Amino acid sequence: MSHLEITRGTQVCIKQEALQSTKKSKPLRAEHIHGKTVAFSLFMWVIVLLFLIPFYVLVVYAFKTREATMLNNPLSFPASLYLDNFSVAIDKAKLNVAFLNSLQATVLGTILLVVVCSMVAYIIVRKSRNKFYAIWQYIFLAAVMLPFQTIMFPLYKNLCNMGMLNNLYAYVLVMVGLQMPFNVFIYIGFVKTVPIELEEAAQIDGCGRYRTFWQIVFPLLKPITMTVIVLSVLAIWNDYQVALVMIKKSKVMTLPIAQQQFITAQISYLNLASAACIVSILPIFIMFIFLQKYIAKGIVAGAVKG
Amino acid sequence: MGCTFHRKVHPSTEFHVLYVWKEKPMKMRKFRHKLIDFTFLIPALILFFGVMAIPFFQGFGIAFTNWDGFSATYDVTGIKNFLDLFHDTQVYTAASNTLVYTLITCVGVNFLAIAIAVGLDGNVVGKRFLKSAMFVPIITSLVIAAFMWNRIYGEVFPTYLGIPSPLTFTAQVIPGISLVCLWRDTGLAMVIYNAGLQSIPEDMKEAARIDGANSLQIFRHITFPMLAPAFTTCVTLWLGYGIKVFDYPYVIVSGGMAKAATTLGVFVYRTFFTNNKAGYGQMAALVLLVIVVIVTSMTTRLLRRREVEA
Repeated sequence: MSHLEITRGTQVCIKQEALQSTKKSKPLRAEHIHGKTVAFSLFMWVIVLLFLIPFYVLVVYAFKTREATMLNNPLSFPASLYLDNFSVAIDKAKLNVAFLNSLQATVLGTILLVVVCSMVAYIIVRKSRNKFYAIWQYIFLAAVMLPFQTIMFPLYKNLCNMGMLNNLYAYVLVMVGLQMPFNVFIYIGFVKTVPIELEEAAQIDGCGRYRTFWQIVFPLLKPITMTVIVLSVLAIWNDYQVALVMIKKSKVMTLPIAQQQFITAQISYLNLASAACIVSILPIFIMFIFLQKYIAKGIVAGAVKG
Repeated sequence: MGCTFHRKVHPSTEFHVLYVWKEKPMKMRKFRHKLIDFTFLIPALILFFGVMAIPFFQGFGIAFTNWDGFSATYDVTGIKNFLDLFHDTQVYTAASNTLVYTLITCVGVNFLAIAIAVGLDGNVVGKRFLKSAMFVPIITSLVIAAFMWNRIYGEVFPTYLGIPSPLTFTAQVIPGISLVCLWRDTGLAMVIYNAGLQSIPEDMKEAARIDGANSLQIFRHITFPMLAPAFTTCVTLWLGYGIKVFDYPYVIVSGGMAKAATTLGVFVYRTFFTNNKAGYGQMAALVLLVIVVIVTSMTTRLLRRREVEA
């Protein structure tokens, strides 16, 4: 009972800390809104909107007919909303197979990454006085810097010899292996802040390592787990280089490779290609809207603490 | 008397229980615990060795041979591959392209990210929306980014600005690719600088303002020094990204201009999979690794020292 109460207490503490750190930016005060502020705001809006122009072009193209895309007025609004592009694009691109492959790879890979990285980070931190465990922290740090090109060909050859090219599960394992060092690093930074007293209490009550980890430590890691999930989803969903090396058959193709093929094939139908692009951005965009605060936190955790 | 009886029996039973429980199978239990702890490491080790460590060491075996990547036989040629790199004009093109790309993106991303992060830290209406909007480019896949920018360069630039697409000129193709990277990565760097800005105490700036410092002086003497750790991280990160870059030039430029847009990363890839020179490519990849390690570790050390001084 006692350790349960402590757990809840710490969770509240951590949540409050997190709240304080996110709410730090000061609110706008009424006396500050005058001409200068308006001008400066306008200036910042213009700059940021410049960054969004490519999306505007994409959306405008997706609603135009093919003839309209050739009129040399790429920024103009479509004369009428031509919705057929989307149905034709989805039909023609056959992106649904690639979409399911990407979804499968992303979900599997993310789950694996969370499980593997949290476990290894936990044991590295808790046994840091043991040299055998402590050294892995440095090995993983060095591995973050390793360019993929250095291991690309031997890895390709090994997979080829094992007959694991064009295998979605092998692809997932490779992605997990490549993403692991970075995510372990993010987790290590966070596990260090988890108080050890809770685990000691649990162990005295007879909890083994596994139960202690999954029932007490892992729930406390939730904020950073969300971050790792978001970063892994982005990394695997958008991966191009590894998929390019490992996957050639259309049956196991992931979305970026399929997009590339579709765009190359339909380059004279810009409206269709644009519609296909929008359709394949949407899922990740929706995820972003719901989880954006974790993205920001995660990059900071990985970059500044690392 | 009842009291003493209680005191005598209760601790002794507990002691007894502990004694039996702990002493006898101590060694076995300790070993079992160690084994259980080790299982936490096993999945990570399997993945690490399978995906990274073993291929990494195999790479050294390939780099000193003239293997083409698929034949059963090959000769060990020693450091010939290494020397050949210096006589290859393609390597020089790739190296200078990589240098230009890395300089533009590293300077540009950090400059833009600091400017926009500091700008959005001030009194701006709707800054939370703007901060989120800055991040949207990074969530789009590079393939789509390349498609969008081909529209911008190919159609918007000539129509509205009267500038032909930079991707059609040998001299402008790398700056053109760099601009896409600036567009996509600035939001990412901005998030890191944002965190640095949050850690600056507001009263410090307030005090400087009361003492008569203008915005520029505050930025020069307070904001920028306080951003030093984030600056170190970002510069090192984007130097590394720049030197290793493969996907930006590979995806954005296709066809005839692809040769002019070759970076070291693309050169390694083509040597492996188009030219079938595995030994040579692996040597180039190892040289790339050495460059990345030297450049990033030197910048980190240099910038960390500056942090301390500031």
